[in-house]
Amino acid sequence: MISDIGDVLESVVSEIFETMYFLFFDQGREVEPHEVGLVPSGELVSIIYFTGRCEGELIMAFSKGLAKTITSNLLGLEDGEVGDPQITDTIKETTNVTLGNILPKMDKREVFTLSMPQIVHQNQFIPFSIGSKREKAMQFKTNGETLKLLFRWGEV
Amino acid sequence: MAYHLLIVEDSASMRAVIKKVISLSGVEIGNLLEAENGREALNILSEQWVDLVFTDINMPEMDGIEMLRGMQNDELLKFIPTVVITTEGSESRMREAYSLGVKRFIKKPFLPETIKNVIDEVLGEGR
Repeated sequence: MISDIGDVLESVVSEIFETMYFLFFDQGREVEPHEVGLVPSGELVSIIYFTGRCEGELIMAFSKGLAKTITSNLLGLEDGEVGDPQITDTIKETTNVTLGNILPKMDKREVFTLSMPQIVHQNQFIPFSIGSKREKAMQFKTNGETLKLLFRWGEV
Repeated sequence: MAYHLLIVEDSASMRAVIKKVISLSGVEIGNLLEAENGREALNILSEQWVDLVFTDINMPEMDGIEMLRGMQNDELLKFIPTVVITTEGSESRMREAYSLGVKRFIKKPFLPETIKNVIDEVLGEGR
């Protein structure tokens, strides 16, 4: 098990956003978990759960501008050509890819089962899943747009 | 010779990206088919032959591992080369996929060149 989950979150986010979306974040900073766990207004939020020897969930909150930018960059479209279904699909896939890259860094031998990523609606509190006991929340910024992550996990 | 390919991926955005990379790969492509999950893919494969299947693992209804098992249990489909494109890169998951006949494993996020190289390698093996 890794010692600093913050370093893992930062390196995974950097790799994914640089490779898939050609976006470079400033250095991430830790934030209070409630800033992500209670769905912030004006942001698009997705969640994905995992089970295995360790269980938990990853919640990602995208500012609307960031969600639109990553969708247009991924699909090679102009901002005006991007629709809500494409944005929703892209942030769900990003959440899936992010968790899929975090887990092997925690335990590369363990097989984890991932849920399908879901969109969380505004003002909906996200409770801990049964296995989650620890949490780490981080915020990343690029060009005035914001990404927040909340990772919760615990040994079964 | 044009190759027929099937992309099995529940994310429409990711299917669009993979299609674009394939179309820019320089390989002559015939039919470029799409399925949203393993069940839909097996239905397509029961009616139409393809030369290569790209598949995700984590999908609703039928995941990629179950689809690969279905292909391995079929006298014809087991000969179609398969490439996994997924986020799930644990050693155990890769061993499981390779035991089901998978030729290559591409981890997301991927660079476009990776897909092009894999197409060249896998289809080149059969030429």
